[in-house]
Amino acid sequence: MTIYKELALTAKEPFDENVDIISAYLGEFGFEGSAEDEIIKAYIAEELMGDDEIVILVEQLIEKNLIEPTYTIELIAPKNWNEEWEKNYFQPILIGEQCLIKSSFHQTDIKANYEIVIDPKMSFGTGHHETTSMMAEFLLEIPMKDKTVLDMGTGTGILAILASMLGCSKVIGIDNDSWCYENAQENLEKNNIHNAEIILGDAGLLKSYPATFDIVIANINRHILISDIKYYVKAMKKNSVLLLSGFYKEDFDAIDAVCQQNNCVFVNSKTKNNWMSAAFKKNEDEISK
Amino acid sequence: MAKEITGYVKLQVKGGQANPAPPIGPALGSKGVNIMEFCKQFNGRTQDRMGKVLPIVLTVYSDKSFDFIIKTPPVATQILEATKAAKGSAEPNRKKVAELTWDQVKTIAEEKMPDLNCFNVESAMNMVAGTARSMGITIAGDKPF
Repeated sequence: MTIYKELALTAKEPFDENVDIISAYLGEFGFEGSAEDEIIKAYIAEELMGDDEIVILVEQLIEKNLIEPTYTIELIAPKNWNEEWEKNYFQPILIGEQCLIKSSFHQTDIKANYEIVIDPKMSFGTGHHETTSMMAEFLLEIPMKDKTVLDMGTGTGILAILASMLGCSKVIGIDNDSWCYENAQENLEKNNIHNAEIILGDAGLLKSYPATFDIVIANINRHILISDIKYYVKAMKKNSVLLLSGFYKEDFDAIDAVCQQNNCVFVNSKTKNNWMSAAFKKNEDEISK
Repeated sequence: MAKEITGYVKLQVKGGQANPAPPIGPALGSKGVNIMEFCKQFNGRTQDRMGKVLPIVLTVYSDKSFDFIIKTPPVATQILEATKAAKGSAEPNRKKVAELTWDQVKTIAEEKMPDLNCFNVESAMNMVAGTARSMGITIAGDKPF
């Protein structure tokens, strides 16, 4: 996990204009940043720039009369930045009237067939986002008993956990983010899931799983789906199901075209607030290429 | 009833690549905003501007929901691009004497008109020239108006 340097600066008046100028300069050197009123906080990965170089940059900004002469440079260790939201604003949610998602500290009277405990930290997947809830609804609708499932971009592991609870025989969850890799494993433990495995990596790993899965789920984004569908399909058995999410309605045609090229036919879809999830089936008479 | 606004945050982040690390993590996390929700929305809306640094203005409401707008690159960024003043320099301390032409000022002014409080391109050009001067960048030649 990356350690960042935080450079905190105070812009001189006129704040709005000077904040833009300072951000533009810092952006040229690879900083990303945030600003509230006159306070600017700019960040760069620790290994990319030495303190001495940062000092030279800051002195130029002081010379140009853009900032106050006091500033700080601090190292920022990786931490769960989402903790504030998680503790105070994350509420239990019921999906498809059957599946309850809550945090380990939530007390609720809601009863559901499937109760999933998720402490999300900085991983994606609490069931609150349309892309996740539609995928959970798909899983609740299709036969899962004794199926082998692959969950690409598993995040918190929420969909892998639900798949396991629905009776599938084996689940593999893959994520390329080390936060998610750790978090998904914690969540598996909290839910006593023993037939799921989380692997750190990307679609490149699928070479080791030819024609293995009955169901592949991928809730990621348009770009990654389009570039990785071909790898998913190779890891799927004949007549298996591909569930895709994380894209907008207007991106469906592009996704559908890639699925068709890879011998998958569209079955049905769900939409919520312009987000779309779609189910495809791998064609029976695939000619091996 | 309109929701109560509790604050504004400006962000400069790369299109399609938002993640919960700094600056997004610390800037939004302290406000109780769901960082992952922001990242998903932002990456969806900017998937066609992958890797390009975009200025965002985020509005946070009292119920911790949020809205954000993606602005055109600030005048200062466009000026820097036009002069290539500091681009990729490994020596930030090297003296750079940068100059813009009035044609370049006009191009930036026209592009930036929708975000500026100006009625005509001449006053937008004056604003761009003013920003350039604050950056220590001179404009070559006589003003064309």
